[in-house]
Amino acid sequence: MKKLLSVFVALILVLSMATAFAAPSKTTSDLTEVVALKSATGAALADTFAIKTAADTTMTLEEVEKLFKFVNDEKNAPIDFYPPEVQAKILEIVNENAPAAEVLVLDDLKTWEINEFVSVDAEGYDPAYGDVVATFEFATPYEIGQRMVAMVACYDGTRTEVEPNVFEFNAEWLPLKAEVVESVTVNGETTSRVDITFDQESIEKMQDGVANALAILSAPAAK
Amino acid sequence: MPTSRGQRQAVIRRNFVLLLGLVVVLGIAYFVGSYYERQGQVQARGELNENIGQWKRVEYQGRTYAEKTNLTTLLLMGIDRTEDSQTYGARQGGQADFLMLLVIDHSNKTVSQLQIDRDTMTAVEMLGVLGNPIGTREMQICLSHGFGRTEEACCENTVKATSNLLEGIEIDYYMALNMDAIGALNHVLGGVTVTLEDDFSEEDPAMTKGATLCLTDEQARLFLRSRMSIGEGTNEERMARQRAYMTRAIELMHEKLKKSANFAGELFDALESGLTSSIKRGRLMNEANQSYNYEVLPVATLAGEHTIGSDGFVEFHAADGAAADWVMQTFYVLLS
Repeated sequence: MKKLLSVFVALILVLSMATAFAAPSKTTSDLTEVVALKSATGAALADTFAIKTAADTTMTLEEVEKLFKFVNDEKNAPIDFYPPEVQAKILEIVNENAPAAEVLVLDDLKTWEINEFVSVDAEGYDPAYGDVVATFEFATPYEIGQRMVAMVACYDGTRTEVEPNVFEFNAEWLPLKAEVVESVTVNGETTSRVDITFDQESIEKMQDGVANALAILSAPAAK
Repeated sequence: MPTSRGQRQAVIRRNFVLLLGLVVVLGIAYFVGSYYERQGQVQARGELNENIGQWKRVEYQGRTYAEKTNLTTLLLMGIDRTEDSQTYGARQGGQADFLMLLVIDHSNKTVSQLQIDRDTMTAVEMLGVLGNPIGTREMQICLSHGFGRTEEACCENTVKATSNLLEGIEIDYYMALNMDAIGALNHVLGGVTVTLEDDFSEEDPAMTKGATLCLTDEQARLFLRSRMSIGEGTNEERMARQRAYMTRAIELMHEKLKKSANFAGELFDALESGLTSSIKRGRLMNEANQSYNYEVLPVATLAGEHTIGSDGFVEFHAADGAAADWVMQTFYVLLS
């Protein structure tokens, strides 16, 4: 019975969720971090201004689950998750300043992936800042030159009945310019940073929203 | 019928030739049969020798070791989730806040235990939010359980991370318990009696400082999980409470097992609702029955140090060679 006891003793030890430090526990949500903010106009940013990751809400969690089912269960491309007018804006952004040979059409985006989806928040914005570039670090190792667009969802807390007795939170999707600005590989492990340009409209909608989410829609990484 | 002498001699010669032919055929058959028989025996013996010869030998720190056989490895996990926690995407599996690897050595009749700090930094396979593999990164081992769509997939990712930490060892089984197991454990033990060193009365009026209580299932959850609102709010205080609870719970288990061998099964069944496991109840009981008199070695931990990472979260860095030393000691036998 000693061995059996050892198993059960170990099972009891399950209860001792212990670390040597009284510091917060890291979760998978903490794998995304905003590491820098910069005003496009060069204006100094007040300490009270922030674009940051936020705690998940029912709205953002339900959205990611809806997206998961749309892509994995119903076998759709992530780009088709968005309405046509949003798709058009996405194409506008990804083709901005692109040479003619690299201009993409909607079909080209059918292979694009969404690997990052986090809750975000904005506060303390001053219109004098103009566009704000936020540098994000994600768990996904993006590559320099990998084409992408950042998708911000703003929720006002209202729901729409999409099927009888099935209600979904209303989200306004805003595509934003995003660019991989750093990608460093050490011992086979790649760390990358992505600059996302938040314009005034998007920041103000984020501030007004009940909750917000940020997704990165990107071309597949080169194998 | 031959009548003349010549005819009789011809018959004798013919019979002799037939007999000789028969002997030759039988002889050939015998040798062919023997050959194949010998071949078969050689192959059978060859397989046996092969197994013995295939004991993996490795050189480590100038010494030669052979890999042990007849081991069963079981990873125990405590998951920071409840039974009714919902799944969203492929990154919401919760953290594996408790990790212990049991290694049952049936040849040497020992049970080794390695408790792994949840903040141990190791290579973890990551998934995108929609389930795409996106590579490997060094991070706290507890996070490995967050990646996966199903509870099983999350557990398997933690098994891989543990294997990565421990030199690629093979882990046979896992058992993961969620936080509902606290109440279930307390319930099957009939409540655990403790003396409260801190005041919990904001949460439960009966739980005042200094009171000695036989905890209800809900009180047990409060006692073991509360942290920030209790006492100084440190993890060290919570760990002290957990040790007090564990000590009494182990005593109760001893008492109940002495009274009834069936208690082991009752305990397993009670915890089952909060359990995700790759080992079946029967297999676990067989392992337990097989190893009931094995020597249980003290719980080992990896030497190393805690630091605060650049992101503000705790990291535990195992000392160089600490994992390899434990693996060599547990999974290999020193030859020379």
